[in-house]
Amino acid sequence: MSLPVLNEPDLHLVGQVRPAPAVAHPLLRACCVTVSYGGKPAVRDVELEIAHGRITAIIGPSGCGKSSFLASLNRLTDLIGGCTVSGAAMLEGHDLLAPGVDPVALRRRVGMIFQKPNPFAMSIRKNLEMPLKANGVRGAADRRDLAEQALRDVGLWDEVSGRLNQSALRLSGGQQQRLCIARAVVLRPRLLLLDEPCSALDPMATQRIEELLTELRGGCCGLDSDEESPLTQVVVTHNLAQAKRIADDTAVFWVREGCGVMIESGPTESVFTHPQEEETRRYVSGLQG
Amino acid sequence: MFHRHYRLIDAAGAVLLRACGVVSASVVVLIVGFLVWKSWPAATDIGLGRFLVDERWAPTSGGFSLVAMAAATAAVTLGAVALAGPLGVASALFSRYYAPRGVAAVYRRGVELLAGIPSVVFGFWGLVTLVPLIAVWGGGAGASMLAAVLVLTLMVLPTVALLGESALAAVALDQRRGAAALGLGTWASLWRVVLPAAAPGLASAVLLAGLRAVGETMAVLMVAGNVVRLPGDPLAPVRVLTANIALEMGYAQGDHRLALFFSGVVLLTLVAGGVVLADVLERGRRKAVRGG
Ligand SMILES: Nc1ncnc2c1ncn2[C@@H]1O[C@H](COP(=O)(O)OP(=O)(O)O)[C@@H](O)[C@H]1O
Ligand SMILES: [Mg+2]
Repeated sequence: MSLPVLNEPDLHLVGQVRPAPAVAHPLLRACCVTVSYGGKPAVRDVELEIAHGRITAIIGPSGCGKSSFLASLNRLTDLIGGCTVSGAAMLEGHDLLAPGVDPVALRRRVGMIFQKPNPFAMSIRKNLEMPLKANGVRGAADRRDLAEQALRDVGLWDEVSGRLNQSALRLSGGQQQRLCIARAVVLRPRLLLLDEPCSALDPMATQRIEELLTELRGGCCGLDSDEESPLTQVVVTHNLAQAKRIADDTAVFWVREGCGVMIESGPTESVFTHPQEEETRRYVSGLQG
Repeated sequence: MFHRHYRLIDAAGAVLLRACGVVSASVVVLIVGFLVWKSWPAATDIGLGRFLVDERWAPTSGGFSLVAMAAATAAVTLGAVALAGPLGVASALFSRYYAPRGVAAVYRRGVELLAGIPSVVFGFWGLVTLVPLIAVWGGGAGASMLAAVLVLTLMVLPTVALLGESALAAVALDQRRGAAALGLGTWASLWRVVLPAAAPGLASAVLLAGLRAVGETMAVLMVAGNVVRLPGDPLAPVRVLTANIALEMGYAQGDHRLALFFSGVVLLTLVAGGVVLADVLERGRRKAVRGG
């Protein structure tokens, strides 16, 4: 495998953030996706396009099925007993919800970050190298270089390069979350799902993560390629200001008749300034309140 | 008024709990004290060195070597742990991650039942089933170190399986979700994430099983053949320290009796060492969880 050229540590951070592509083609198209628990739908008939190379925010009140929908997109719903998903989600021409799809292979292409940072109870280095090893990167030197590159990509290298063999659990919450992002992007996913990635973090750490996500949208290096390629992201967030800051597109979920639905979606700007639905208007006007 | 009432209950409760603590702690101290007191003359009358250097165990004619029996205890215990450790961990993995829910529940009940079977029943089963089988299969009398190891394995298996399962359960769900989200399959998640995280807990499960094996008397006594000799051939009989005490205490006099008390002290020391080790492991586990 050829290795990525190592960047200067901070080039990435001070470098210009590339704008999102204006004319977007969809990377993923959800058609009629319904997620049910024990036969009772939690979120129904979601129709949503996730634009390639852009950040899509999903906003809405608690319990409207944002997390359920998100988890269905990399089949983590398979791990929940009694949870069933119907509909189709076309990722680059293939329905990832189809029965024949190998969820383990899928999850390498569709990564996920959780609300609570979940580094493994092992060293910082092993947190990055273990998934590489498990995903078939043979050479120890390759793994080490990729791990270093990933740490640089998330701006963690300068903070941790002197203590890579310490337990990852000793990092601060924000550092842990960036480590988790590094661990996911080093596998070079096509799509990264983030379920309230900043809810457990303080404002400074939140800002760091937001900057990081915008940079990653512009491109990151990783497995299988020297080329930086844009990272499409779907971010569930309770923080409307955050959606406004980082998301190119926004989808609004709501509870109607006891079941979660997607009520509108579009470019973030227009969803916030010209909401089509009454619920959206009231919800986003909470911004001023 | 109301508050005073509760404060009284609180105070009484604290006194009661403390009293319970004092009682159980002093029982332990009393037992240890009794053992040491009773075996103290062994040091002066027999001499501690002779437990090591005497040629054999013939306490009525002045032979006091505990070496063969201590070695037998160690060999039988290690054998049982070597078998029950991997089997118990595999059983915990199975019931937690692979068995369908209904099967897992039945399976767990079965393991709990196994844990509750009295040791004399294990010994009896060993005597009427296992020992003849070994005799047919391996030749000899059948009552042997192998029989003792197998019976002990069955007896401590539930300890490893049940404690091991709670060690696995303590690995947080978000770790397993994290592993899955990185494209690790069930086996890879278990092997690379869950087992390393649960390792200290699993180790202390195995250690506790070992402690139980050291102290087990009745079942081993019934199947081991009880000939005092250094362990080696698995088909040959051995006598472990606990069995020796049980066999001879009834008629032992004088120095013989002293020697038996002293072998009790040896056992106690072994077990205490194990408990200390378990404590160290437990600390390691908590540190791993906290990220220390
Ligand atoms: N594991 C589960 N089992 C049963 N019901 C669940 C489970 N997870 C979520 N739900 C239900 O599905 C609905 C949507 O939950 P969720 O997707 O977590 O919403 P959100 O992320 O928007 O807060 C809620 O009513 C919740 O009670
Ligand atoms: Mg949620």
